[in-house]
Amino acid sequence: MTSPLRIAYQGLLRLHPYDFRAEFGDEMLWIFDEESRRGKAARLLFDGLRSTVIQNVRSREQQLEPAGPIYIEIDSSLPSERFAQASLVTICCVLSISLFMSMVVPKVAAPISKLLFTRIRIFSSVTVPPPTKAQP
Amino acid sequence: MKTESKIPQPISTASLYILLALAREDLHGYGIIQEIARQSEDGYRVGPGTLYDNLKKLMDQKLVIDAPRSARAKDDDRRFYRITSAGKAALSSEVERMHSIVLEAQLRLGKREPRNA
Repeated sequence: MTSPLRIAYQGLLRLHPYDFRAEFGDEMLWIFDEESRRGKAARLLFDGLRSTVIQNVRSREQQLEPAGPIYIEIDSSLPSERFAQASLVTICCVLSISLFMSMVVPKVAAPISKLLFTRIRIFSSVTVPPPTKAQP
Repeated sequence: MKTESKIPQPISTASLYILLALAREDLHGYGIIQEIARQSEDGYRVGPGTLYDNLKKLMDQKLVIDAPRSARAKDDDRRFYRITSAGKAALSSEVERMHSIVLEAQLRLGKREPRNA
């Protein structure tokens, strides 16, 4: 019977670059099975995840290495590193603009507790009649 | 023009342990993991990902090669690895480098007399 851990590990192996997987994939799975019998399979998942990241980054670096002094291969795909970099730059830009705005517009600068606990009046235009006192 | 450095680069811990495990005999992947655990008294354990990542680098540098199949039983289809003479030289060089660090550290910590004394 195939355990969920083994399925997860096989999934991680599938995420490795083809060359690496073809060369060492079967052996890695065999070692995983051996370690599973000894009850030490769970910690190998982290090792597998780490290996997936390292091999993919290394494989991409090797692909991007220039073939010569003139010819440089331009990778037009959108790798995860670019998304991460773009997210980081966006966050920095938003934070910088927020900081600048808080200094330029003094009304915006308010204590965080006030901003968090301000009552929102949605129906401010609706007039609520004052409670009438019960007559004896 | 760029000149290549003559100083050998330090070997990573995992690679050092792999070379050390293979120094005595040819081993398959799981054998290397077990040998490393034995050498370090279970203090340092490598997973298959770390093992094959480092093993690939060592094979690219020709420090480790595939052991020929004739050297083992015919029904054993596992892949065995063998350290090359270049690998042994790299291991010796690394051990010497570490030994000199240990000597220097002992000297600075006052655990050893200076050599010229």
